[in-house]
Amino acid sequence: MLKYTIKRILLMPVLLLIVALLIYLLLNLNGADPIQNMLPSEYTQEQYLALQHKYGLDKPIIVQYFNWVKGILHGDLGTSYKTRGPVGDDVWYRIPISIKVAVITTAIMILIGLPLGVMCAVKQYTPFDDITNVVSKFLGAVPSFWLGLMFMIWFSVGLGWFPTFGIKDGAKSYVLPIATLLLPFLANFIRQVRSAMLDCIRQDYIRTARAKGASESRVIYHEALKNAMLPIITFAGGCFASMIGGAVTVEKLFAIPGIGYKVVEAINTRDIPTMLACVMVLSILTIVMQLIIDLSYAFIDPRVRSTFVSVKKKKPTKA
Amino acid sequence: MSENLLEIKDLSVRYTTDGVISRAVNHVNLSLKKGEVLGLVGETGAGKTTTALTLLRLLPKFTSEVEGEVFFEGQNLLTISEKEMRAVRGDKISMIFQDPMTSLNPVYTVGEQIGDVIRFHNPDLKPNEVSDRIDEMLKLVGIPPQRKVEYPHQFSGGMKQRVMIAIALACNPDLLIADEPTTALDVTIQAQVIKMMRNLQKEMGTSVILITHDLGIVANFCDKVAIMYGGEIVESGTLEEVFDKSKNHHPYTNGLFGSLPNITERTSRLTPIMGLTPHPSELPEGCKFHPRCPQCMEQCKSGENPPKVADGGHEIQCHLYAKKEA
Repeated sequence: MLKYTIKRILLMPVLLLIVALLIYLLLNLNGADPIQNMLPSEYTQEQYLALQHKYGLDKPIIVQYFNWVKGILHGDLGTSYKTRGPVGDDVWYRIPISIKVAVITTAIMILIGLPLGVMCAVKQYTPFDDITNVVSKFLGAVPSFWLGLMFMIWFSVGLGWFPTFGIKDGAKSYVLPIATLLLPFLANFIRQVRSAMLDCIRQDYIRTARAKGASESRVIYHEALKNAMLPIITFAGGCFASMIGGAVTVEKLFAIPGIGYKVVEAINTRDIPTMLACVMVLSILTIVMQLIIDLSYAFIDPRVRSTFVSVKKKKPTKA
Repeated sequence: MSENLLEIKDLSVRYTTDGVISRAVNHVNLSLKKGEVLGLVGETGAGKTTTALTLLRLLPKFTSEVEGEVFFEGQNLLTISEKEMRAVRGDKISMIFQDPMTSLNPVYTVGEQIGDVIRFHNPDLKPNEVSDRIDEMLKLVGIPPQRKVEYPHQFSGGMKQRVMIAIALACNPDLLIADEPTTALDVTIQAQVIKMMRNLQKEMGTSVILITHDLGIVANFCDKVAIMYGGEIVESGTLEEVFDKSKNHHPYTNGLFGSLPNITERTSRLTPIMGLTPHPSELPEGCKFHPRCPQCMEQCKSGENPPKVADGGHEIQCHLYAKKEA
């Protein structure tokens, strides 16, 4: 188990290097000329060459790639084509905010969703299950831009409890963005937990546990829940990853300086170094997340643990 | 009644799914003395497992409906509270299930799963006492105690069933229900498991209800036999009474024995019982067996159940013998 963990951690840089190469080539070989975009409409050949040299774009692409990797290893994420300043400053400012939002949202999602989902499964065919089901289907279908606006109208403009945008008011300013981001994820999470639990509750070993004289709560939380955790963890991990990179609407709506909106902005302005930096950071987070999920699989399920001893590696999905 | 450990009186179970009512068990009467082994024999769908699950009150809550009385040590199991019932399950009455592959929880070690049932019913035991008891149980069923830290997937099918038996016997139950304990195992392992169960039963003096469709196992193991068909007990008696070919039998019992291969006679084909078991939602009127019965008479086809004809403890539910006596 320890050996496997170490192997997986040692493989991470290799994997990242491959991811980095693919992303770099994909973004830089798209035929667009970034230098031309940066220059005024009338420019001289000297100006062009000078700028090209400044950004290192006069060298072969593979050299550019290694220079870029070398920069990253030294903590330099490159120079933005748009602001002409270092990309790192902006990314390092935004990443902790995105992680903070995603961690808190995932935590709340699990804290509320897990017991609710379990209750729904246990109380299948009762009004409690039906109502939760309808409400979560509704919340899952509501678009977040609308939900966010409603929250803003009710709680910020109407009641004045929370600021409408920005993060200047500390914890208070995160309440509405997190709530907006949370609800659709929570709705799906509850349904996921419910169906995973229903699968497990119907198993023969649950009947065995009851026949042993186990109390109902022990049957549910000890016997069934541990078995249901695999799909639940996978889903929660996926939610976390998409909350970091995919909270674009919420970030835009509440003016939260997160990484998701930055990516979209960078794409719109063809700011390749910023795009690269953001995608790299997101890739690292996803790979780490995937590792945590895989390890928790092995921790929960002895069958997975025993296959891990011989298994070479599992390919994590890209961001 | 006090001499009987278990007394089932007029037990009926109905399942309702999507408005379809299935009468899985109909007016079953059974009794069992301490230390006795009762074989419950019948085809798939005859209501054997449902009867067994009713004793432990493990039927699905929303879809099943139970009528009748089940007295265990003088206590009606169908009316006591859920908490009292939990104290009975695993401690006084325990059950071995049909499929050992899926009956153990894959994410806990077998030691933990045996330990659970010991701890539930003996909360005062210290951890090392529980651990000693687990070792003892594993030795009893022929598994080296060192293997208690292993998980179910590391055991073979026969070994898993041994673990199930260890769980079932861990609290010295008064009654053990074995629901086709060997159906999922291959024949050589079947013999081992049955032999072990019989030895343990004799050693511990446990009463056993053995659910099976294997008459060979019944002959080896049981004191009493009840033949089930269509949710009813069509014939019951001691092993000798039911297995004695010179005695009167229900046509279904004759059919069961007739469909067994005979070592001493040379035949090219076995004699099956024609037709299929009726689905419990579409039980025929009159005698439930009449559409398949080779000796079916006009009076079998309608009306109430045929009367029970008793010859001592040997009961047959059939018009055939009622007529003869009348």
